[in-house]
Amino acid sequence: MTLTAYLRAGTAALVLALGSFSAMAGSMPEATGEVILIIDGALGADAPAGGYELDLVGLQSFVPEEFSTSTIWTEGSMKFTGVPLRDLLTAAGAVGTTVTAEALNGYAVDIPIADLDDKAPIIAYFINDETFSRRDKGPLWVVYPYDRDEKYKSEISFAFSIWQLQRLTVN
Amino acid sequence: MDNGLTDQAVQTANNGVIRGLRYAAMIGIALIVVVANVIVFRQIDEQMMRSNTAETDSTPWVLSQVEVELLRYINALSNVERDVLDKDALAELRLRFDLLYSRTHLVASHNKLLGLPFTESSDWVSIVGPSGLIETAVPFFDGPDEALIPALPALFDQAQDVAAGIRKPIVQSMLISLRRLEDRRGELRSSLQVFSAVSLGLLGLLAAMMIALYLQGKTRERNRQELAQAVYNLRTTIDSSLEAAVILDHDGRVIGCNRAGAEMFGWEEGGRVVRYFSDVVREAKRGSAGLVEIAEACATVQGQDQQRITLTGYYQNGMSFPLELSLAQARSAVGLPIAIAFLRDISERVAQEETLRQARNAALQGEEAKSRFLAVMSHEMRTPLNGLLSAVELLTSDSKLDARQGRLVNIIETCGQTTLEQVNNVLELTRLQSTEGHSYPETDFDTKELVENTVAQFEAEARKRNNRFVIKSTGIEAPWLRGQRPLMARVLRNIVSNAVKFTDGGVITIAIDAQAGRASDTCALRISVTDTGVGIAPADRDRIFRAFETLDSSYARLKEGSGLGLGLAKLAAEAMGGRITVTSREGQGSTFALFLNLPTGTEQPPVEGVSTQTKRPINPLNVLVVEDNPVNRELLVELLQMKGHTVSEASDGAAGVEMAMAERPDIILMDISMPVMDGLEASRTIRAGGPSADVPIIGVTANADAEKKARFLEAGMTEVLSKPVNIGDLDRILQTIVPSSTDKITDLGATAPKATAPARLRLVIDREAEVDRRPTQEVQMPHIDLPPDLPALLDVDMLADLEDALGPAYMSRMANRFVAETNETLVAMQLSAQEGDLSGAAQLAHKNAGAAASLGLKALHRLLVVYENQAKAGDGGSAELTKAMIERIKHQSFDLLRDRGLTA
Repeated sequence: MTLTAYLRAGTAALVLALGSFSAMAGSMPEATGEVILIIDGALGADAPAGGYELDLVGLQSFVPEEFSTSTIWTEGSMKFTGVPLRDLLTAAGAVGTTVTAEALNGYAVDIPIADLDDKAPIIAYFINDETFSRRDKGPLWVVYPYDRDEKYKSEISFAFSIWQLQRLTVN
Repeated sequence: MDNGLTDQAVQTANNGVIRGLRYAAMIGIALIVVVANVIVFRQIDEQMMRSNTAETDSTPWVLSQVEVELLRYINALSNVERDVLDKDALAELRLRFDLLYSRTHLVASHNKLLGLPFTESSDWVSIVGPSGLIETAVPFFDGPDEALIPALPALFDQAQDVAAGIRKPIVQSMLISLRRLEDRRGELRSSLQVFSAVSLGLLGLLAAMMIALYLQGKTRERNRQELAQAVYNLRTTIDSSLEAAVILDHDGRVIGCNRAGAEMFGWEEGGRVVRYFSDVVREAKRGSAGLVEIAEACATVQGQDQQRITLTGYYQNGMSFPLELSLAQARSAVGLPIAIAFLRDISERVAQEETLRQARNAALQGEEAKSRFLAVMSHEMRTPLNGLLSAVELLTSDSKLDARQGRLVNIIETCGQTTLEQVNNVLELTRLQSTEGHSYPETDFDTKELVENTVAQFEAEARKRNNRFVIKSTGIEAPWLRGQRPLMARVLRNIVSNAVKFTDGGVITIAIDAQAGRASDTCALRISVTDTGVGIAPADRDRIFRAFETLDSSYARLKEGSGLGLGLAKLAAEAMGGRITVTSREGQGSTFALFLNLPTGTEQPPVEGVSTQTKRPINPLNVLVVEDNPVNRELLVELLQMKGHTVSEASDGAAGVEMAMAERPDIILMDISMPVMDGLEASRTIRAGGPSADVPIIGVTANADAEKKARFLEAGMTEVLSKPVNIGDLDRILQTIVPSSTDKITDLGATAPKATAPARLRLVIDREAEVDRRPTQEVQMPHIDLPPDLPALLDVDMLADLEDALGPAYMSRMANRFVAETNETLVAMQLSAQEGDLSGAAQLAHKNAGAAASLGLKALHRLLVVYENQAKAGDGGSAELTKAMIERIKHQSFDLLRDRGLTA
């Protein structure tokens, strides 16, 4: 492991502890770096007018969910790390029934909130412990643990699995 | 029964096999269906899974997005100001490039998408290949804006070029992808169709099986009902049978019975108590052997009678009863041999049979008694009658009688003759009616001579009534036949006699017609006797042949008919296998015809008989008459003396021998059956040596058939004369036997014999004389002090003849009575002698002696006679010694009677 890796891990752990704290406090972390995700729509009263803007650190402040799985779009099994969508919406105080997930290319899909599991899907920000770029489905990817449960190998799950996620709109 | 059970077992086995096969087939089919279903289902599942994963479904989308992103990229390129540094437009351009990059990267890294026309096309290479759109643009986008901007026009042109070419391969690839999807759906559909077909097949099969099961169930139910009904019927039939049925296993154990069987032996119906057939049936033995024995007994003992056998059964209270059993063999359900015994209590039948038997015995005894009475009475009457007639003959031939005396004597003779004829007829009737009676020996005889002889017998009577005989003969001339001549003679005599009696001043025609019989060496003989007498009314024609029937009793009496003649003729004819018919016209006469079928006989040389008799006078002879019966002896002596012969007499064989030893007579007439020494032994003794060893001895017997005659001749007799002796026969014998002796005695021939011609002289027949004497059974006398001349203990032949004549039952009674009487008499004799009443003892002995003689107990008889004489003479001491001997002989005699089965 390189020195930078250690540093990064240390920072992540620190941020994680802080994020956890802030998440538990019911407030969303404020973005300090590049905003990679916007949550807007029907949110709690505390939400800012334009919705929440999250950067990577902000996302990392949530309790991460990790799993390894293959996907129909990639070769081989990969390890995904991210925030469960449900946790994120809860933290954002979402009050709607669906959430519209929109990708960078404009692709959008409505996900019924009731269909969300506790730990799936996640909004993955690491693949194999590293961030991934826009050129490679990054920076955020809604992923299900397809290998863990057959039910995730469905057309709906595949449709919900959008990459290059940039916005979540609760409605 | 056997076959039925076996068939049933076989059928049951067959049913089992069929059922097993059916089950196996059903299970097999079900397995095949299940496996097929599993296979098809798995296939469908796999296809569904493939469909679920929707790997390829997104292919058209992914491909089209490449084009979309390319166009957006181009659009973004065209939106960037060439001269102004527009940060937002550049950021937008960078985003579009990244998204395009991402798309192409997705396609390139996706194996499934490779191989499509698009990814194979040069346009694709112009995007992702070396010096392609991406590779060319990446350094610029990775660099700062300042470096990027100048490259934009070139990038724009390149993108434009690529965009112009990729549309076509993308559409082609999309079509192919769609076709693949179409194919996969087709596969899925056909799999589903197979699945449906298989499922439908399975459903059909299930339906068929259900129908089969339903039908099978119905059939089984019907069979079960039929079986139940059959069992019920069988059960009812067996149970309601009055005959007890008991089922036995191979060990003779009772394993079942019907109601009657349960009742018969007091068993609980259907009870399962282990019991053996041998507990209730005496002849049954425990174990398999017992059953086999019963079965064998059934098969062999009465094989002809439905295999029924009589056994002894026991009721529950121990009473035994006769049981009729029939046994059927079968096999049990498990194949062991069993037997079904059908039993019937036949006590009632046995009792009935016993009653019938007793009734029959009683009837037979009555019949026997009647026959014996007739026979004895006839015998007892014939003997004195013979004496009477003989005496009358002698009186008429030898006495000067005045007219009145002559008439009276004639009446006596006529009445005597009639009575004798009656008696003879009764005897003959009895003889013919008894089953064993009519057994005369068969001899060859000349039919015509027989007829002529018969006619000759009635010549005198016919002449009295002014009747005339005519004899006609047709067919075979002078036929010789073989048959029972006495019966033939009896038939002829009776019908000729009948014709003579009922015809006055007429003609009696006797027609002989002999033709060859149907069988070879036989002759169909017809002898008819036609008279011109009073005739017989049609209504009476059947009656006349019945015994003791007379048409008109008053008339019959006048005509001296016993009413037996024609009945006897009929019986005699039937005894010969022939028949008699009668035709008659009242007032004109009757015809009696005898029909017979007899074997032809061979012609016999003419017998020296009356016909050959010479008329020359007979020289007086010295004749010794040995005859124990005083009347017979006297009559014979009288007859001989009438002929001018000198006669000396002996009263028994021994005396005769003595006299023959003392003086040689010219001829000896010897009775056969005599006390002390019989005629045969006397003859032997005389022949043994002495002065009379070669003197002709003529046996005189009442019963001289060929066999007996041979024995008499063997004993040394010269000739045999039959009783009653007539003068003609006697003359012939005397002339032929002693011709050589005539010269010697011419001097004595003073008086010429009075030829009272064919008058028949009867001699009194001694009853004892009728008994044929065979060599007597010699019984060893155990004591030396018995008199040496003591005769044999028992005259076996005499006793046998008595038994024949009187029947064993009668003889048995007689013997038993004799035993009892003898015992009593001997005690009484002893008492009388002790009291000094010797004459009383003599009388007792006399009586007992007669009884002993009548049974042929000769030794006992002799000793009793000796005792009688000694007692009469007052010689008590000798009598006492004799008495001791009597006791000894008595026991031996009784033993003999017992040995013969006459006494217990």
